[in-house]
Amino acid sequence: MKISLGLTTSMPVRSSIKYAKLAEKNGYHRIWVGEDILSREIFSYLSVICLNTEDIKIGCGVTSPYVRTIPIIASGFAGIQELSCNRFTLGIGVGGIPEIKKMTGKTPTQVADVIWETVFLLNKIFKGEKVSYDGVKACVTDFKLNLSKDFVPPKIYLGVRGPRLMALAGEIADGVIFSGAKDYLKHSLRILDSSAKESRRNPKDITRVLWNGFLIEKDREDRTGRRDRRIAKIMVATIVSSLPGHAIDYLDKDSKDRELILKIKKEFLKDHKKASAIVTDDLIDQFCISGSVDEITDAIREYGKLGFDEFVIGPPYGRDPGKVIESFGGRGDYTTGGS
Amino acid sequence: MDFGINFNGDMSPQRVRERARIAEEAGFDYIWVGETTSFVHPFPVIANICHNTEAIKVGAGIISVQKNRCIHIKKGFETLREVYGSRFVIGIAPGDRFGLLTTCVVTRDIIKKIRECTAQLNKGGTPIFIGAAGPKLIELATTVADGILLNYVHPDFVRWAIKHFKRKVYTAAYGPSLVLPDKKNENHLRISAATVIAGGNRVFLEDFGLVEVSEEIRTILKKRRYDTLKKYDRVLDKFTISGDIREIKGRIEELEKLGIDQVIFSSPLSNNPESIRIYRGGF
Repeated sequence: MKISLGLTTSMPVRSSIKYAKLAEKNGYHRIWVGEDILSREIFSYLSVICLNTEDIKIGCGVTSPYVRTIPIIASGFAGIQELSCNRFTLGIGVGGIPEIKKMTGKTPTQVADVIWETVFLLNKIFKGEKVSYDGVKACVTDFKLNLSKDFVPPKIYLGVRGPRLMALAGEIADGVIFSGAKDYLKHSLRILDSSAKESRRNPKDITRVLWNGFLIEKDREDRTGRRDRRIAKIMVATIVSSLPGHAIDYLDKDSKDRELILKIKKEFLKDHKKASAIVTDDLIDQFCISGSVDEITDAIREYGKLGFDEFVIGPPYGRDPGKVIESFGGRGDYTTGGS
Repeated sequence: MDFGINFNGDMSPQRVRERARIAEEAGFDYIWVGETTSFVHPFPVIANICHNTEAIKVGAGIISVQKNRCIHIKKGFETLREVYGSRFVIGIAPGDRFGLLTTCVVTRDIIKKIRECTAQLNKGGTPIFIGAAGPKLIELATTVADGILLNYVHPDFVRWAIKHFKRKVYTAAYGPSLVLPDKKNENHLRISAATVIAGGNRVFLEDFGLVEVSEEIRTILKKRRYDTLKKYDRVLDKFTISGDIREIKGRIEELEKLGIDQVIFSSPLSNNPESIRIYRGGF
């Protein structure tokens, strides 16, 4: 199991540079940057991270094809790949639906088709091919990027959750960025494996990255511990609020979790604080990897046994991000599953 | 007068790093990064320049409001400002005509789009320039923007453009440049000038009797028969700042007399590090 660092574009860039350098120094495998659609811009953000690191792999996890066109996605990330000397991996996903709606005025539709054509076209463009295509959302005519002779096409991962998209990932993705409840993750891994086999691919060739809620907590009974718990609740409420229907449908109709998740989703639209307040400890355990460094280390091992190859730390990280990043660096004792 | 140099996304990151340092050392005031559909996006190039220079101003010159969402342009520069400070100018324009065709962009009410984007960008605190070649965009730029990037470097063309100014704004004259002789890059200079004429504004081309030539050149570019461009050298020359040092200096003086605030030496000058070094604060 490899350990990577998670950043998002909602974090101040200077903080991210500091954490990225620290992760590189501490032997992390990769730095993932998630695009918060309404926050900072991903091409400039990733460029800055590339320029402030030397060898560590860099990933975008994820960007949405609903907010940019194929030529812009291709030209932006080709630029990042060149700038990083081929250290880059591109993660594609639908993205946050309320944010997309706010930016574009439209709700994403035909997601499986759009994700498929995005990966299909990007793979061709990154190989230097001239492409013409008129699809569901993508349209290009004799489009070709001039790439340098040293350019290596970046791997394309999918950040997806629903069964249909997970099956699509089994067919076409070089890797998958997983997130969601622990039980649902096991189910997702089965879908991925089965789809890969149906597509005559070796499931082990698909890198499985786990990027779930993460928080180092101190003793829950003292004041700072209680504050950590509040942060964990906010985080879980945020994750739950964006859960797709099928991830909830997976739970038993009579399950208490299902009822609670639906309540949090509903409440989150009206009042984030109230939604966070009703998050339970059980739900935190399902959606968030929290606890002491040792407890989290054990949890990472468990996830490794389930079949994950890479584990993403944060954000948030805990009260002292630098210390947390150092704590998980160069341990080399996260057994199994990695490539 | 200020001086700028243009880099594009067809340069490798190593070359961008090296040439940006040379340009800053030579005393250029600005580096302008263009957006062309077949090149990598300007943001990685701009970040690379900033990371490897100290204080030289860096502009998007231009970035297309038809290819990029205006909000992404705004946030891209805000992100870079967090790290590199207030060194930026945002130059927006419709974008390269032929490139837009490959991306299926249908141009509708571009004046409205640029006006709205300028208003949105104005809230960000970074100076906004508009790249303009035709009367309507020139009028808009000199009404709502902090500056204008004129796609003309010949005095006759600049005079024509100035007639359409609504008010005096900071004016940059932007054109393909090369210190001659430069056997290696001369054909590139021709192609760059030809691209300007081929994508020229209709009113401009009519006023200067260049419609037919523009169509012929467009066909040549489409068919990539670049070797046949030589016969248009007399026309193409009017769209460049090129020649020996004395000729370039002469052109700069003419432009200065017309009230031009900045001359931008665009590609292929940046292909030749010696030409960048020759500049040394104004040739």
